[in-house]
Amino acid sequence: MSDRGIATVLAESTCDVLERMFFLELAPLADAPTPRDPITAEVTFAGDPPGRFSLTMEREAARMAAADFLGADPEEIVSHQQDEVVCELANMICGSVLSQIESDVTFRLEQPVVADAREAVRPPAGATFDASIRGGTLHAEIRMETVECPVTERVF
Amino acid sequence: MAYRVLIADDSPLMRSFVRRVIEFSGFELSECFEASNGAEALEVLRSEWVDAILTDINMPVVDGEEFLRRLAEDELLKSIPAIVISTDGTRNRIDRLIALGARGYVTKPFLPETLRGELERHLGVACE
Repeated sequence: MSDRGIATVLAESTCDVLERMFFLELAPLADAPTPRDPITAEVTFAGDPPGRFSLTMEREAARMAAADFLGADPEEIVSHQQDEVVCELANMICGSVLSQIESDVTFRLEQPVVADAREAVRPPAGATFDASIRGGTLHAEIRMETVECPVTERVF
Repeated sequence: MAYRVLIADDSPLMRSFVRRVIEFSGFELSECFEASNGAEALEVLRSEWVDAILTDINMPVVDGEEFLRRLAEDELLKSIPAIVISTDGTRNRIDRLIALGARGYVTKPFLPETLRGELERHLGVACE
């Protein structure tokens, strides 16, 4: 599947997860804004092909999402719950995307980890999706690794 | 009639969410037990009877697959319907877990009525 096709699945999955599990609506953004006070969760996956998914959310947006997810007052949400919700969200979106584009292949997700957005090793541009939600913005990105076949013989 | 449910998931956030969704869906829940992995879930089941189990797959110590295997080996516990909740919606994975003894499979994201429907279906609750 092309990056464009994967980007469509990524956008649909992100909307689906946020609406069904977090009861949040989002508005797609054409350009990726620079996030303020971001939290980034990364998920590495093994499969055919393997790759990496990352989700960056502004902290305030993560706080709102955690409040909706837990049915709590946003003021009650503490820092580690914001991190956990971004990880859980990353896990769900990544799983949803892979289930659709690798529906006949078994894949395995590693545990999501929080990375400092400034220090995170960002994957080279793959399929991306940006949106605004209550409290800020989010940026989702998935990159499938491609394995190049070794050239054993060249025929000229 | 109200039911006793065990939720096994390594994420406290997800356990809390699933519990809230069950309550929100209108499912008759009398008691809810929680475990952070399959080993803890088996420990709970040694002292508490539950009507249904909701389990994640990727958990530390004893994961969802091993948990289902151990339930299937136990003459008493294998009668409890175990429903898997996972992000993995691939056919191979679903078939594998059903073969291990899972009675149902709910893919995240899910709606409250989906989870309620799955619980009621395996508990033999008549549809309203």
